[in-house]
Amino acid sequence: MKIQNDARYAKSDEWVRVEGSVGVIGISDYAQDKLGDVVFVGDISVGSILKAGDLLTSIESVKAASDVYTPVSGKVLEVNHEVTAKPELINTDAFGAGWLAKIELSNPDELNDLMSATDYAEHRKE
Amino acid sequence: MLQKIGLQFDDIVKCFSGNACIEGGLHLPEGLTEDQMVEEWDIMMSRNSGPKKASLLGAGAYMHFIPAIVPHLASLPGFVTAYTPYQPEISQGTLQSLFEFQSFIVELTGMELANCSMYDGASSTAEAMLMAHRVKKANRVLAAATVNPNYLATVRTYLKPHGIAVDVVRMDGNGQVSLEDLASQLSASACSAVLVQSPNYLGIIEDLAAVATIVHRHDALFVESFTEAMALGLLKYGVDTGADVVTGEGQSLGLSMSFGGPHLGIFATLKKYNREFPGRIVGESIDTKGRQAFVMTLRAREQDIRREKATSNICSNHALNALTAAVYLGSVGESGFRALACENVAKLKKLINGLEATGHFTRVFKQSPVFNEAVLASSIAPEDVRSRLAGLPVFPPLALARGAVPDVQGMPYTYLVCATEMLKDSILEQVLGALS
Repeated sequence: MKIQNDARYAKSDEWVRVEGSVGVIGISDYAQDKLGDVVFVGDISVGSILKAGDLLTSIESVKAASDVYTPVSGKVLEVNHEVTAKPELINTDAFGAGWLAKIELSNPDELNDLMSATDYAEHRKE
Repeated sequence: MLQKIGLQFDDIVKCFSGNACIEGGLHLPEGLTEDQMVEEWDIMMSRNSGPKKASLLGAGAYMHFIPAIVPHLASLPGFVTAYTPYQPEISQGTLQSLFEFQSFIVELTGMELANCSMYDGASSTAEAMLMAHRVKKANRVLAAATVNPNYLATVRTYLKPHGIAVDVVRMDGNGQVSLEDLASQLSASACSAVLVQSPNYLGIIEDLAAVATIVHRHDALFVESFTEAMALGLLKYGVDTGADVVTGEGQSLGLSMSFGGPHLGIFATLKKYNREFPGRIVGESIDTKGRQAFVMTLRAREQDIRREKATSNICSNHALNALTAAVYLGSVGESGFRALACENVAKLKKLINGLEATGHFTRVFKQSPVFNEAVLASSIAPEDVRSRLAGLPVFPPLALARGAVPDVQGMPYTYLVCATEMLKDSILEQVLGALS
């Protein structure tokens, strides 16, 4: 199971990586493995204001549809259009090219409520 | 299982409130032997008034000619016994037949994609309204007063638990949906969908394009519905008339009326709603050896995967009826289907002319175009109409409630009268003779 050390993790398998005042969000390698081949990523509205735990989008694989929740609060600044065009990037590079959205962090303290890479790895150990 | 959890059957029964349970048993009569049962059955059957060759009754179910090849092919054991095609590798025949059905429906409805059928016209219409709500989010829909009342009731049943209001758009002086009232109700507050049926409940053809223009000014989905699928052979529906969904009843496509069911829900929409529509869809693909293969696709919308977020709780279709419809359409062909539709129009004209010539009937909404049903006012009361037609091989027409349509001087009774290709001249003559 791949893990990204400089990210924080939600129990629901989303990660957030901080770049200044912006949080980059995606789903973990563990999550993509469980989902199977991703075929579709639902629309995310740029500009929408979200609270931590709000529904960000829905990801469809060949066998399931899974809701993705934002681990942090803030305004959606950018959406990854590459992933819309090539959803399989989530499978091949969940922490890199498979990022979903960038959010302007409205409350950076929320990061403390999330798990560290080590804790998440433990949480998802099989 | 009850033993395992330490309960008795009565503990389950107790979960049902008060009068939901029948008191004191079912009181069934003693069983009969087979020959006794056959005897009772014969007595019951002898009370039938004889075979019906035509029906003046429409209003949602229609008597059409079913070529013998249709039930013959549809009753082939491989089709009748086939299970739901979850395993595509052993269901290619079923899947291909449903793909063909979908292709027919796309052509007939003038839309971009069709699912492989739903239960019936009423429920698929209700599902269309739910889809519109998913897309547009407004907790309100409009339905024309001229929609079949059973369809409207079904829409209300489906939408009520979702808290979606169903408001009715008035009928105008021509028996069509009032465009004025439509515009005013759309301006009043946000709406997810507008439902108009054509031909409508009174048999009148609505101006779908005119309705669409108004609907789309207000960012709602336009749902076109029909109860008489034969109209698809002659009238314009679909993209060309501004539809977002075309939905209705496919019973006229080679299915018998069967006391109301099982029938055939038809649902067709635009490609942009491909992740929002309900029901099953069959797609064409290739297998690992590069051969043509069919498979149920876009499954992530469905209940077994999406659960409470599924686009519908339907996890099935009416496959055998869809296959029957496909066989029917294949057997009559494109030009044959159109010819049949034209024949229906001609038969209704003949019937109306004949009835008006008796002096006891006159058409209501004379100026409005109709397909194979129309409203006539009459001086003859319903009991009298029924008794006059009693000995004939026809079902009598529907008597409409007083006040359903504008009163006609001297003719207080109104009927919704239907004529299909089944109304042969010989039967028509008998009908006119009886009603003179």
